[in-house]
Order: sequence, then C-alpha cells, then structure tokens
Amino acid sequence: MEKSKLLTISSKTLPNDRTRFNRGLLAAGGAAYLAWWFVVESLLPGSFNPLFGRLVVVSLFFLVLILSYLSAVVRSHIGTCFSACAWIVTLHYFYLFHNNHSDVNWTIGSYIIVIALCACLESTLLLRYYVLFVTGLSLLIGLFDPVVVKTVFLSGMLTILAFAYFGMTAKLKLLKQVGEQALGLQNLFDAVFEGVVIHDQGVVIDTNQSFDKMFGYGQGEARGKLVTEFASPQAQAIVRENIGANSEMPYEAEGKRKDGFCFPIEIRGKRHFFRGKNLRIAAIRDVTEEKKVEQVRVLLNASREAIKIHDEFVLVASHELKTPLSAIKMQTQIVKRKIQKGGANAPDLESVEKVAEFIERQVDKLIRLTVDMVDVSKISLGKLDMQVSLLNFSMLAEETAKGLSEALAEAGSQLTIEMRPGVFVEGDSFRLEQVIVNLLVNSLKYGSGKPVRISLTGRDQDAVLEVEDLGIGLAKTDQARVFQRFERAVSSRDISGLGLGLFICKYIVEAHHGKIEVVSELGKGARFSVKIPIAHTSDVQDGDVRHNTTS
Amino acid sequence: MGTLGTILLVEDDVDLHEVTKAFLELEGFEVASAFNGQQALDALLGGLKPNLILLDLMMPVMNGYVFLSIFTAHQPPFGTSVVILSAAADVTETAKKFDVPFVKKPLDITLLAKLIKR
Repeated sequence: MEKSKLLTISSKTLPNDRTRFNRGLLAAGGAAYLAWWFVVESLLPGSFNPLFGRLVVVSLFFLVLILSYLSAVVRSHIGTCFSACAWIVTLHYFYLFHNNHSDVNWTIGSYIIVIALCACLESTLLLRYYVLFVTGLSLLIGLFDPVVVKTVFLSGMLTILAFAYFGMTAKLKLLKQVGEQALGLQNLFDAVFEGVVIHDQGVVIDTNQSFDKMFGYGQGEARGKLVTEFASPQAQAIVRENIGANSEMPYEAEGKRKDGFCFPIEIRGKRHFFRGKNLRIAAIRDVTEEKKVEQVRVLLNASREAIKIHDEFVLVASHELKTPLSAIKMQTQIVKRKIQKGGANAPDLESVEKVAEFIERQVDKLIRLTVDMVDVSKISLGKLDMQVSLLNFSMLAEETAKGLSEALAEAGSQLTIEMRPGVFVEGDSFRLEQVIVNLLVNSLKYGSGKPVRISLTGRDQDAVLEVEDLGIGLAKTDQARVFQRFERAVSSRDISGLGLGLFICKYIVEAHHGKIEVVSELGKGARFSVKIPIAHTSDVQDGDVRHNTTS
Repeated sequence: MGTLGTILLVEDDVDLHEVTKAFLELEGFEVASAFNGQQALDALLGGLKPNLILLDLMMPVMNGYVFLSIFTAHQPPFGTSVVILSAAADVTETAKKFDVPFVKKPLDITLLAKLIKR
C-alpha cells in the first residue's frame, strides 16, 4: 500500500520523535524496573529477589540509552534494541517468577510487565516475535512447574497475549484505513485543478500533481525548496509579504517555472495547523488565459472607443468641410445667375476677379483642413515628416504674424507683435509656421474680437513664443484636454473647428524638444506659450526688442 | 423692381454670409445681417420685421439652437417664419423638434428659392 505522503512526513522530517520516544522508554523502563526491586523488597519480604541480577538488567537499559547517543547504528535501530531489552527483562522476570514458586503476586507482576512491554512495542514485527517469545516462555514454565498450569497464570498470560496481538491487528487495520483515507486524500490532493503547496516557514513540505505540472517539476521534486523559488524576481516581495502577514486574501503574482519561464498566477493561502506545526497551505491558479482574455477585452474596448471618436470626428469634419464648399457652390451659382440675367447684372472682369479670389480663399480653407487631417493621421502613424535646419525663429514668427494680422484686424482683434530679433532654433520652418498660424487662428476664433499679442523672447536656454488673447479663455479642467486629438474646449455647437490644431501643435513642439503650455482663466482670455531650445542667438542686447503694432 | 421682402440672415462664417447675402440680393431680397443668435435677437427686438429668417445653427455667443428655443417661445409676436440653413448633422431632429423647414448645406439655390417663394 502506498503510504500517503502526509503520513510519511512524520518519519522523514521529524525523525527525532521516535528516537526520543524510545530513549524515553529505555530511561523510564530502566528506572521502573529498578524501582520495582524496592517495591518487592518492601511489599513481599522474603521473596527471591536478587539485587545483582536486577542491576544487570537495569544497566542494560541504560547502556543502550547511552549508546544511542554515541552510535548511529544503535540510534537507527533503537526500536529493535528496546525490543531486545524487553525480551531480557521478560526472561529475567520469568526466572524470578519460577524461583518464587509461582506466587500469585508474582503472577500479577508478570501480567503487568508483559502488558507494559506489549504496549511499548509499536512495530508489528517486534510485537509478533515478542508474543511468540512470551507464549513459548509461559509454556516452558508450565513444563518446569506443573502447578502453574493449574493456576490462572497460563490462561491469563495467553489471554493477555491474545489481546495484545489482536489489538495490534485492529490498530493496524485502523492505520490501513487511515492510510487509505489518506491515499484517497492524496488522490484528491492530486486531482485538484489548482496547484497546491504546503510549506513550513517557506520550506515546501508537499505539493500536489497540479502544482508540479504547473511549475514543471517532477513528482516530489519541489519538496524542500523555498517557496520563493517558485516566484519570479519581481513577485518575491509580494509573496513574502503575504506569507508574513498570514494573509488569506487572494492576490496576484508571477510564478516562475523550473525552466525560468514566468507566468501570471493568482495565489490564495491560509494557515494550517498540523501536528503542532504552523504550516501554510496555498492554492495557485495559472491565470495566463484569463489575462489574455482581459487584455483582449481592454483592446476591444479601446478600439471601440477609438472608432467612436473617429466617427464623431468624421461628423465634425464633414461639417467643417461643408462650409467652404457651400460658399464656393453659392458663389458659382451666383455667377451663373448673373450671366443668365444679363444686362446690368452681367458680371464684369472686376467682379469675376473678386469671385475668383473668393473661391480661392475657400479652397485654401479646405486645403488647410484636409492638411490638418492628414497631419493627424500621419502623427498617429508616427510618420509626420520634418526637415530640420537652423532657422531664424524671430523672422519666421514675425512674417507669419504679419501675414495674419489683416485677418485678425478684420475680426476686431488688433495684433501686437513683439519679437526679439536673432533667435535661432533647430527646426522645421514649415512645421513651426504651422504652430504659429494655429495659435493665431485660435486667438482669432476665441478671442472675442479683443486684442491679441504675439511675442518672442529668450529665457534661459529656450526661445519662448507667446500668443495671448483676451477672449473666452479656458476652464482649468479643459486646459489639459485641449491638446488631445479631437478635443475642443467649446461645444461643437458654438464654434466651428476640427479640434486638431493644438494636438498637431503639441506634437510638432515636442518633436522640437520643446514644450507647449496654456495659462488661462475662463472668460479672461488665454496665453499659449511655446518653449523651444535655442540653437544660438545672434549678438543682440537684452531689451533690444522691436515693437510692431498693426491696425 | 421692389424688394420681394426682407430676410434676416443669421450666419457666422463671414465668406458664406457674404456670398449668401449676394445671392439673395441678386434675387431681389433685402438682407439684414446677423453673425450670431444674439445679434439676430437684438435685431428682432430692435424692430426688424423680416419675412424670413435664415438660420445657421453653429455659431458663437448664441448658437442656432438657443436662438430657436427663445424665438419659438415668443411666437407669434415676431410673425416670421424660420428656415434652418445648416450643415450640422442633427439638423433633421432639430427641425422636427421646432417644426421648421430646413435646407442642408451646401445650399441648393433652387430649393432655397422654392422655400422662399412659399
């Protein structure tokens, strides 16, 4: 019968118990037998009770006891040594019994000794031999002493031996049952899907089959290892923490297989008292699949979200595109109408030129919009092209600002230009122009017709370009949002726009190793600052700033 | 020929406003301009009595939706019909909600002409 591993724990990992027990028996037995002599002397004076023989037997007990500390051979066979002593004691006592002419007190004494010794012999084999030995001795005494046969001695002794023998058999049967139960438990232990590990202060005592399979170890190979050996380096701390805290809550960690492969696991452990030891038993689940499903779900949600944003954007974009398209369509229809009507209405060259300019303006608007959309896509794909060179940022900013000053003025937003000349940066002039245009167009849109200021200064190692307006401003909560794709701080119902501009600006600025920020208060306007590292400045004095106001 | 009537044009995009106005004037209407809902309301409260209001929805300061709710709440004192002129995606629902006809951008002149003749 395959003894369950649990039951074998006691003999393998706690070897001292049996040795200690047997040593105890030897000491107690020796002392008791010696004391017995005194009892006999006082209670049964005149009996055949030689001290010398007694002392020899007792010293044998103690001799074996002492040898068990000195010799490994004796220590490992201490059970058998005790059994030998038991035989010698029995033989000695039966000798005394015979010489005391089977006195009834001595009969009782014999019973006591035999019972005691049977109880102390726990091994089946040793008991069997002892029983045979005593039976033989008892029958022998009967031969020497026919009187004994007539007394209760023989029958009593045989009864006792029978009890001892059958008692042992019953105990064995019980043990076998327990063993089978344990075996059943062992099967259950192994049948559990989760990996189960039992450890004592972090030292693995036992693992089930699922655990062994999960971590790639052979049966029983994991025993004796530290539990932390089964956790990945990153998970060491959390595993130790949970064990130390005796936590019974499930927690996530990372397991490490024998071949070093790490995988996500979920652990749940609890305390388990067993034979006076405070053990911890933990169930481990491989959650790799679960994690994968989770990841897929997260990705799916993110995709759905992205598609939603994209669809919304398409709606907004189509609206933006329709405005210049409507204007173009109307304009062309007007021309046709005018031609149809003829006469005073017929278009002359001057009006045709105006119409052409008008249409061109609208087309430019459309181009800007589509370029923005393409840029955003390129950014998403990581493909926004930039050609870097050393450029005069001051000049670029001033020219761009001047180009837009007319449009701003028309909306009532007088543009003030304050450029520190000679500021050079490493960058893409086309892209930086895009940024400046974007900021100025925003101030036009959201500036509520109030003055706008654009300035360029040097601060520490950076060129700082600021565009400030006194328009509707931005709430604190929106200030971070506006730089995101498709985000706008105003409802799309109020002001037209794609919400791409600042996103593109941020990307471009950051690609120039710069930073873009906004300082604003709702209703009090906004100041956008762009910081880009300076390549070098040409020789100018501080305070040498040119002011330019256009009306 | 005399004017066919007065139209209040409410549209924030300058170019589009300009070209629509030009078209309407060509067709013989007198056009009053407003660049957002607020300006439109101010004009109406200031005594303007247009035969028709052409209303864009997406405007700053006061958008078309808000204007419509205020306007319809005060009918019939204004005694004018409104046509929505918008490229917004939810034009249809808004039009149904306020029970006004609408024309989608880009504008089809003949359709607009038909509506105006009504």
